[in-house]
Amino acid sequence: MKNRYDAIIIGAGPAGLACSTELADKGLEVAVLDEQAAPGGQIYRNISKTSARQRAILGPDYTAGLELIRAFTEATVDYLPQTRVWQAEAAGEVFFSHDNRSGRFQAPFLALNTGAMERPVPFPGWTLPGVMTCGGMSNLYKDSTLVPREPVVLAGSGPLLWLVAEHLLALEAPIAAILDTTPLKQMLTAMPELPAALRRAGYLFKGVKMIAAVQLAARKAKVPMYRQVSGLRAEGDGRVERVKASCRGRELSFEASTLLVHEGIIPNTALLRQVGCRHSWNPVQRYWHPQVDASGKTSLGSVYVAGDGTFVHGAKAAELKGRLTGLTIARELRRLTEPDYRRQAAEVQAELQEELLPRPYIDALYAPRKDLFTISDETTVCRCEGVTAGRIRELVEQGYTDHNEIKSIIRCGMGPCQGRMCGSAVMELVAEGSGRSPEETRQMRLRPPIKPVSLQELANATLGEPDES
Amino acid sequence: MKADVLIVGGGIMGCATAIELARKNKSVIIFEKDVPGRHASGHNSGGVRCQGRDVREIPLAIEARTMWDHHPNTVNSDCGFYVSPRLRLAESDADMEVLAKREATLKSLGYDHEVLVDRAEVLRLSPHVADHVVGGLACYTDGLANPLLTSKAYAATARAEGVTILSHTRVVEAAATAGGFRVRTSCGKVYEGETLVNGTGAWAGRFSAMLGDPLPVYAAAPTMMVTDRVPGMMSGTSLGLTSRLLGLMAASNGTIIVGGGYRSPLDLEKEKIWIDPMQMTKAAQIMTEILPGLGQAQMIRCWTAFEGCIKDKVPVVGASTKVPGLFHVCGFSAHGFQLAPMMGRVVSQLVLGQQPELPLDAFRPDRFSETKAQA
Ligand SMILES: Cc1cc2nc3c(=O)[nH]c(=O)nc-3n(C[C@H](O)[C@H](O)[C@H](O)COP(=O)(O)OP(=O)(O)OC[C@H]3O[C@@H](n4cnc5c(N)ncnc54)[C@H](O)[C@@H]3O)c2cc1C
Repeated sequence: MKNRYDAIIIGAGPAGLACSTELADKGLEVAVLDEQAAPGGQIYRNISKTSARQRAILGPDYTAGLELIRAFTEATVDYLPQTRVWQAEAAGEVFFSHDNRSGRFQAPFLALNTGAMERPVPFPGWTLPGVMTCGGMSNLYKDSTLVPREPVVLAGSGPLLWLVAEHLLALEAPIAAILDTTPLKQMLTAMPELPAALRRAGYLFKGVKMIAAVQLAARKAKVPMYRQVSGLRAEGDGRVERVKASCRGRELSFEASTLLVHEGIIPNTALLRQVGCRHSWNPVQRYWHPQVDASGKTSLGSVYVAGDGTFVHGAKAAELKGRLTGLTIARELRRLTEPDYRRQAAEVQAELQEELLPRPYIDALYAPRKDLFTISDETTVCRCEGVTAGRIRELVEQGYTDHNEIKSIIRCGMGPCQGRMCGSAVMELVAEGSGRSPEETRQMRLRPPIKPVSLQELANATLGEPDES
Repeated sequence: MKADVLIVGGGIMGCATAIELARKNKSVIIFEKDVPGRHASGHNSGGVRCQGRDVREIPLAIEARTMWDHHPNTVNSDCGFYVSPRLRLAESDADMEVLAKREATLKSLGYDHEVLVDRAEVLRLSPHVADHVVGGLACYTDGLANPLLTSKAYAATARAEGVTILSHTRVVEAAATAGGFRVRTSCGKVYEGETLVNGTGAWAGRFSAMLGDPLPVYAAAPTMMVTDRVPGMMSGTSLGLTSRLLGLMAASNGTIIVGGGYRSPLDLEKEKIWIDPMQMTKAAQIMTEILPGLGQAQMIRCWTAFEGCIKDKVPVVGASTKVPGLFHVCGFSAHGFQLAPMMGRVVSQLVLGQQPELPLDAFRPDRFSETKAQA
């Protein structure tokens, strides 16, 4: 098997697709490694295989990906679906598992377009079967047209909440309630960012229109909707049976067997932290993101990041960022002259700037609310190891502010997910208990393999010297 | 600022020594460039093992082992210690001979902590080992502890005994003076003390050179791996092999900590270690041969830390023969964790000018002078 390339692209979402297509167009040899069975990433998941009915339900934001996929399919790239990348090194090595064995690829440039994930937020009952994220629900539908037939509650804040509500309503899923947790105050905080956003009013109005349409449809279907909801919890014997919350002093309770939550989207930085590129803290969205220049170049030089992995900006921006990274790597590999690069990059950059205009407003409006991480002591924070918020608070009280140390002592973040699920919450608990901003604390270190690899896959490995072919 | 004893390095060796000295009413300052437990002491594999030790270390290791039982009294924490017998497996008759020889050597020296066992006893201790295993050598008293918890307990006890621990304070200059030693730190401050203890772990080669008593301690990055939970697979017994490199420790939560002499490339200057995944593939192959039921187990993480190593694999513990008042406790070559409580005791005895309770001749800093120093 060929294992030496000009560039290795991790992730076949909008950024990875655009980036690899751009590189292949310039005649470069590219490998694209992605976990899913088909190209598209989270947003265009399974797009090459979905039915007309699925596409009609998922709408034009989904089918927008078809063009990208077509170009990618026509491009000459080595595409490895169902491939879990578990280690990357700045020297240009990528280690992965594919087809029940581990392998190694090498290239002078890496683009780690690993996208974003939904912000995991612990609340009482979040570990019960039947609790999942809105994005997870959306994936189920894209993959297998699965729709809940028992009562569902949707709870959280952000556009994805409403998008999934829209799909479920169209599919006539029994929605027991929609609970919007966005605080009123945030609408005011976001106001100063509005004028810039209005320069791209079309985008904003599309969002507003979508939400208004969902609300109208929900009212028609007699789905109760509540705003400024807090104190969300799931209850049940072995799985979700009831969802409770409060709304401006009123206690709410709904019978439901599925609870879909969504509290925003954060960059998926696991591989980026393992490879060791530098990160910055964003105090509005409260997440770590890699430090990149306009082309997506990280502090490691040979490693690039494009798409939502750099900062959550949405699908269109991800595609543009991917193209820019592709152009830049092509220039570094001397397949693009400086003037050609400038011209082509300027076009993409102009489009990207336009695309980013509404983001500060959206980021402020859907910033994680103040009490998002007010977690009760009994709530499990680390699902892998069953560590509660109370136990973490005890350590913070003893003076521990380094998640790496907290992990070593009480195993919180020590399990197979290496803190991906509890990292945000632990950071907030440390901030709460020590008064320190996450910026001042040491970041959680990730060690390979960032995803579990079976001993069988390892034992079957072909990691030998890269061939020169 | 002045103190009786200046200790460079806030790992477990530095802290153990400081505790004993403070209990003898000595004033002590520890300089730690990061925080106590950041390096080897907080990130080793937690193996509290007498088994397989170099015979020169055995008297110290046996004494140290009893001290592990007393940690709740001595450092106010059990350090997460529990017993997990360690069984070195013989995969052939030739292996069995090697183990029998080891047992005989130990017996002749008066030690009985490692016992030759047959396949029936192997299966009693570890029911899932492969059919080709013929027997083994068992050490029933070995165990495992939580390294970071241990390091922090030692540092906390040192503080409680009145030791000053200066974290994020690197010693950048150290020199002998008429009255003892003067050190300058990265914070720009100068400290003086009568005696100086070198507990700088992986940095000991450099630090000793700075003082004009260079030791052949080099930095290495022992590398460990851990699996997901495989309940029942190990039955609480930790395993090693006789003629191949592999160590499997049975963590109490059901995961397996995997080691066996793997080392990763490193850059001590930048404090960066690259984990080489080749070692996972090698370990995985041997693991599935030894415990055939492990095929579906997952490797979930590797980790590594800087450790000070010496070619002959035993540490340097003793007074400098070149610089009076300087004491070394370093070069533990990836097995110092178990010895730490005892090191605190003997090094403090040396510093106090007493005869150490166990002979330390085998660990003399000048034992390399006949051979060529290779720093
Ligand atoms: C992965 C791994 C697994 C291991 N497994 C085992 C095991 O199972 N069983 C066992 O018995 N042993 C094990 N060991 C060995 C054991 O961890 C070490 O021998 C022991 O911790 C050494 O303690 P130390 O205090 O000398 O070193 P360290 O903990 O490294 O402490 C030295 C300290 O000195 C500081 N320092 C250095 N230079 C300066 C300076 N100029 N100024 C200020 N501070 C300085 C460093 O920051 C460091 O914190 C293992 C080691 C590793 C790395």
